[in-house]
Amino acid sequence: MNDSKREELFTQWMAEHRAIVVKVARSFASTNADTDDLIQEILIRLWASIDQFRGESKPSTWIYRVALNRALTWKRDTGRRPKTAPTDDLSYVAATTKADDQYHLNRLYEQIRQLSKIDRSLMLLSLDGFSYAEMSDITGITESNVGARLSRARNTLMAAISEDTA
Amino acid sequence: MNEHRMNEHRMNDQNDGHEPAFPDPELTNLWNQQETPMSQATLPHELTKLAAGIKADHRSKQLRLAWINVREIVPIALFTAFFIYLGVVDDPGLFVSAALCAGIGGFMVWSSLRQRRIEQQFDTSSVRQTIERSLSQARFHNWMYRNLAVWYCGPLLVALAILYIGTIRDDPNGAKLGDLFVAAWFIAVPVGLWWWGQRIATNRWQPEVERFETLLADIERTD
Repeated sequence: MNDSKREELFTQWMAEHRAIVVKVARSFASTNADTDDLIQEILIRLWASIDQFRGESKPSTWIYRVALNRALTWKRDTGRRPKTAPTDDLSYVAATTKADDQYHLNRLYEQIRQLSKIDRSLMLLSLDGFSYAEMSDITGITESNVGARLSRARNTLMAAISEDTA
Repeated sequence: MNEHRMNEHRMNDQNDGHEPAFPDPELTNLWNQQETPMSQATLPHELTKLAAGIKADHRSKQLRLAWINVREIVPIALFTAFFIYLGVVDDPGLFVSAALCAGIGGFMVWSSLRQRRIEQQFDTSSVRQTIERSLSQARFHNWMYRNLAVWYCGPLLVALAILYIGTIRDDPNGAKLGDLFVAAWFIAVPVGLWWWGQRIATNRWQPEVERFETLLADIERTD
């Protein structure tokens, strides 16, 4: 694929599905600097993966697959900068989001980050409405195991959220 | 549009005979309403700028990767050239060390290519396969850095022996202070390489192996 076609597809993906990249990055990185770093890493991987995209799956499924693969193998670069505060300053949430929602979203991300990395991946896919079959395809976990793990992860997440709001 | 897709997914779930993807509508609603700074970059020229930046970053990353792939070979290539030079100007016996170095270099290239073929067997279409590939990669690098010094010791110690045998043969009483420096250098280099290799393996690759093993164990866990 030549560069202009690649660029065209990439900008199209970004126009329609860029939120996936941010959601995955926010769920796997706990500081703004790390989130930026991970977003950059995912975007580079997405760019490189365009040649492998055959159109057999939906772009959103492909982007999720690439983003999760990168996020799971990504390791925070401790040598480059000191650890900064967690992303409680809400700069990853647009100003248009209501303050109350911002707070709840931040808490939700915080609880999601408490899950194991695999459960976190399933939770993100679940929240974005993917079916068990799609989740199984993306993660390589059997459908029945996806169901069982997700059910347990949801319970943990819901319990943590209720505890938080109580 | 997003809502439509969500409904479509939910219908798929119901068709699959499973419960809906996420049972808490309030939470799903909150999740779907979130906006991100990136989503404000809606202007086409901003997206083009983003694509150009990513393209440049991808290129520089590829160059860095190319260097990482060859840097393990660089010391052994330099040693080969060094022993060829010494073989020409000093003792032809040092060609043995040059040949040993070249052999080690060849083995390293062969094992790297073999590893690349192994990695290509992993289909990275799923998270599990990607983790398995990363684990294989980390194990290979861990093994490589752990053993690097041992491989280097062979030709360097052979070269040291040849140089000393040559010196004693030519003039048994002619050993000079400079020869001691040469000996110290030939011992210090493999020790230094051993230290370097162990440090990289322990600090970088061993934790990576453990990290990927943990991830793989997590993905293989059945509830």
